[in-house]
Amino acid sequence: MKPTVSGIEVNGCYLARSSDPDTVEEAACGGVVTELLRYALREDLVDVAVCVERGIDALDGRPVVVDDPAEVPSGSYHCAPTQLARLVAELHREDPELRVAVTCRPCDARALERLAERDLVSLDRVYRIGLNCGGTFEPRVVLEILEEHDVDPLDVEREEVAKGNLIIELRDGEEIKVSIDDLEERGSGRRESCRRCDENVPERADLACGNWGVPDEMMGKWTFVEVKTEDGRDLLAGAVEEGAVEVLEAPERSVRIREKIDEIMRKMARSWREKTLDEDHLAEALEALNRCIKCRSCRQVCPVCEACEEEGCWAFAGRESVTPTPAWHAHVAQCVALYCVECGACETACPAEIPLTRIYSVLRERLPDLLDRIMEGRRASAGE
Amino acid sequence: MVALSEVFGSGAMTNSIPDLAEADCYLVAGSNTAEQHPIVYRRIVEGVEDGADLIVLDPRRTLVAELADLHLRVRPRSDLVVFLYMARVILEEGLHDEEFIEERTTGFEAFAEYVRGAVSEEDVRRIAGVDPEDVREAAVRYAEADRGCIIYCMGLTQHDIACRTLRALCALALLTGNVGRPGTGVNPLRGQNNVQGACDVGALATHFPGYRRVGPEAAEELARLWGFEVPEEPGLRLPEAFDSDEIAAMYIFGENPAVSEPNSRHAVRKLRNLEFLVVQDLYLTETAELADLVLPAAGWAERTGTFTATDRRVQLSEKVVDPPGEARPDWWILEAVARRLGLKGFGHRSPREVFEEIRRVVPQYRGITYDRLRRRPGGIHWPCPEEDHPGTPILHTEEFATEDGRARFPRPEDVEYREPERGVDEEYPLILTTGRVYAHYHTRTITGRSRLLDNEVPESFVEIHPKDAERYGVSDGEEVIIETPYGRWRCRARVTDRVREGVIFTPFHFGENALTPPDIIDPEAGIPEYKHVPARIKPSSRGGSGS
Repeated sequence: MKPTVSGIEVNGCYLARSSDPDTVEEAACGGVVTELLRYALREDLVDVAVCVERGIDALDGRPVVVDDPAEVPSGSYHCAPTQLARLVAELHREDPELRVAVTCRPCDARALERLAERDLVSLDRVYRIGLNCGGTFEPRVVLEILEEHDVDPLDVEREEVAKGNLIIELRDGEEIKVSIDDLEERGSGRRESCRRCDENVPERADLACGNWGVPDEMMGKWTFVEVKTEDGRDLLAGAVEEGAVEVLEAPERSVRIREKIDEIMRKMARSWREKTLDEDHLAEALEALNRCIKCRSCRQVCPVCEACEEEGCWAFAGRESVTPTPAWHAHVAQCVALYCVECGACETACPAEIPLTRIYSVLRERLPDLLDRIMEGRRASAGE
Repeated sequence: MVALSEVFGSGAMTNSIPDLAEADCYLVAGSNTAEQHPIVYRRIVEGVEDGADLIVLDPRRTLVAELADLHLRVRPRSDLVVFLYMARVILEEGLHDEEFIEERTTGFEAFAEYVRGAVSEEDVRRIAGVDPEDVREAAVRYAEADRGCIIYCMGLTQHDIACRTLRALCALALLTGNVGRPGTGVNPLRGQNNVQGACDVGALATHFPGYRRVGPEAAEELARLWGFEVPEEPGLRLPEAFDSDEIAAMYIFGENPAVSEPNSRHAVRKLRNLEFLVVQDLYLTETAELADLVLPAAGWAERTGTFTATDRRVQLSEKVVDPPGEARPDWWILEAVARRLGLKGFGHRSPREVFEEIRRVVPQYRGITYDRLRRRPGGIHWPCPEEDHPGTPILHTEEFATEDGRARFPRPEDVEYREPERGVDEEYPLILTTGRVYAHYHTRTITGRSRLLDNEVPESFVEIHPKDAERYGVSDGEEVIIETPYGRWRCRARVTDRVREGVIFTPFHFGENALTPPDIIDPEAGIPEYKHVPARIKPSSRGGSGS
């Protein structure tokens, strides 16, 4: 059913853009992602596309489900706390047969995989159009930047992240460029969980799209696409064959530059991990649990917890007190340690500002060790 | 609202929720912020994380009190004494902001003179039951902060001396120049998402829309705007209406007085004796059950309209689904009733037309339109006088909203402490105070219908200190009877040192207003005394039957 075309290979790297000059102008980085979604809908490869559209302003990305190719939105959103994997699970709960194309950051792709492990998403019915991600921002961080520059959020045309800068393009053509490093030195910048994340190129997607490695003269008008799976290859090849997308073989130099950037970003992430997952930071986070008011926001936004709908869990939280029992936190921790994708949604939602993801990240980091020790213990006792 | 508008010229939160995070010192009084205003709590936590001091006045050790540097566990209804003593300390230590006082206020001299002798250390100990040294430290910390922020709630306002207490509190902000900047101000937290909006449009007995005090002058102005005659005399405030024999009919919407009015037995008797009672609500509440006519109203997602939040932020909320069955939006029902009654001034065909009238009549809303609100999901803060005005997140930055632009220090006679009409005695040795719990809202009209929330706190309880429990033979989890001069209530005891000795606490969600007095109100604001009631307690096994 899916078209196959020679020329485009799994693990191949390409530079691509929409063949439609209007889309190139309008969308981010040449509009490949937009064009692929439209193509999949038009050719009836999928029933719906799940992506993000512009809300009130450029900082406000809203999840949207579309079935009409003409309605596929474009644009990139770095401050929208969207949970598209959850939305796919909700769609599959209603109709397990539904064929979906979804744009996904690495954490969305991880969430999809976790949901699939529990049969909450049928991955064979999902095209995962991966987006490279160097991190996202709390909307209020960007609002503060705009305030500093005396800019109304409504006057923002679009925002993007390129070469370590957050670039905010205004309607009048002006540009605000802020170094993310500088922001982070001031205690602002990307979400804490994003800083620690060392998966910039989505490993679990069919295609990985981004602007790293795009030659300077093509920057902003072309996208670097890595084909990760056969589905990804077929989708891209089909769109090329139909004439919706133009592709070039990515030059060796582009591939190297992209690898280099990825390497630098991963190194930075590791250093953030060391910095923010030490004993002091953990102690601070654990102490902050005392501020919990049992509002359940963290669970409601969690892409892998909410979908499991085990209401019984809530019994662990205890009753008649606004502070939950320690058993509740222990329960969430053990559940989350297995499934957490470190997307940071819980932390963003918490009204008591508890660095929840930090705790879960430490748990996940130490879990393999712990499992090893348990297994060792078992082997030892079996040997007796 | 009365005291605040008297001192500052405007009866609303002076600052907006986001800028509260910028304070260097919080003075949180009578507010269980973590449980009741989690969004504000988040800003306080943010400020505290950044090193701000937190001072909490509350007879109970609430979650926000646990976070505090200094928790003043005052007796209920004694906050006024604490504030007056704080004012005295600020003056004695010379920590007052002379420049601010000189340039932006009037009435300082008389207030300062009064305060220096008004309250002694002994008064603080005897009436408030806290260590004067702690109060001194609170005063110094608040006054020394660059940005001192006052946040208060019903722990201050539900008393018969509420206006006096709030005047003294406002005076602390004036003394220290803590008004008109981010992270400062005097900030009352309103409960419902639109109680601010209801007050703005004049759902008050004493004020017309836009806080014009009811009187001939304002009546004339509104008569011109509306094209019909407007009453020149104030109406009855709620407790007065429940006391008045003249009231023969009531039209109640979005309110459940059978449970929420002080001394519910008294309230229910009144409701039963009415000639005609109409109740407009989402659910068949205890009040609706007594009604001659019930009109089913639409819920928030079933109608379009604006909400004005506690920080004067007007937000538009659009309808997403149709109301079920015969339910209709409140405005639609009111229009239909008005049409049949042949009333002038109605005839709106949409929420937008209603809002257009609000813009015409309430000066603070003049520059806010549906079009602007659609483009601003974060809303617009009133006052917003023109359509190109960005709104006003922080009030009183340059001038106060009074006639001469200056804030008025309260007159000595208006901040004098008054002993309660009925204090504790041998017969009723405990003070009962009431409040909300995290899982329920007011009379549980909605929260009681949520399985999850109802399961959290399914029944009434009373918090009692271990020493009092021992004294009165009460054990944890046991059923007890609480008695006040006004009524009797049976519930389960929770023995806990979260509540201070000599004070017992019950929620007011389950019918506990059987215990509160019907006729003790603040003479100026009309708010009932819900939080200082002489009481006694005994195990129900010993109390015999019949509650």
